[in-house]
Amino acid sequence: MSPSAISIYSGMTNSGQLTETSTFSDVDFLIITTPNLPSDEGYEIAASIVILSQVLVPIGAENILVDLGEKELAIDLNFIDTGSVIFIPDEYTRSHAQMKLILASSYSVELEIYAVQYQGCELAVEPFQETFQEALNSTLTPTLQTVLPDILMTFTSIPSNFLFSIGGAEEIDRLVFGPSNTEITFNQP
Amino acid sequence: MNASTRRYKDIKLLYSSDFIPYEKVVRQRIYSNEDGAIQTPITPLIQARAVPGSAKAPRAKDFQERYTESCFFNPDNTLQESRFRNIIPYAPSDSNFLNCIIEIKQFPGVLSVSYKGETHTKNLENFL
Repeated sequence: MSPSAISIYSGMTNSGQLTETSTFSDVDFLIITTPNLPSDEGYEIAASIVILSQVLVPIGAENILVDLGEKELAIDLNFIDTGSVIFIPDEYTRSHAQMKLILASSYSVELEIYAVQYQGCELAVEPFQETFQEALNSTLTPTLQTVLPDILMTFTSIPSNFLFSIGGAEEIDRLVFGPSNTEITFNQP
Repeated sequence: MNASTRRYKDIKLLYSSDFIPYEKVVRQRIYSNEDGAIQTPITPLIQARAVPGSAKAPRAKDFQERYTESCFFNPDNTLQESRFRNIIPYAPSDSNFLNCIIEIKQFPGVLSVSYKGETHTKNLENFL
């Protein structure tokens, strides 16, 4: 299964002014291509990645959305080499925070920058959907079969035919949901 | 050439270590102008050691290759100079060693050349 890439910048960089890409999040690494150079050439460009730290901060009894400002990623990013991958450390990817790449190029160069990310398990389940559906129907009691899909629909946007069970349990005792639709874990005591 | 953007091309050289007959394919980065004009002095004797193929030579190494640093006049820089490194692929016992460095010194625009020999700070076992 190939990773998916979204384009966060395409075109000529600014000279005499910084160049900023679109924001991205949940990204594993960045790839830069240089369309107007021969395949064995590249650029070294001064760059940094900033994180837009809008976070939920508990203030009193509530979680308030607070803008802590743009902060630089504390990774050893000096000159980026267009021939190398720019990796985003896992801690930043896991935070789901918005980030952007900032370039300072002294003359205009043509770049295409892609953010590469792994697609969530929603796609991975698809080939096994039928098998899982059968396993699910055979292990759940009739009551749970009707009620469970509605419960899950309330919590996530995943349609009921993406449910799956683990092992040969008679019932599913407890469901735990992750912060995004890419994580669903089932806990059994 | 301004320091915050550099156009480059990587080539591979067959490098002969001081510890004959050890040889390694090393990466040499050649810097160019915005329009592609090459600035790093790549001379015929160095080109003779170029290894063909599109794959990039890994950067990892357990020793520092011998290299020259050539100084060019550059009015855009604070110190008014640009420096470029060339890996010298010939061992000092090779007659091409001296000729290679002379070629670099005679490259148009080169004002002065300094040289640093092959350096091993790790265990020499692999080279003996």
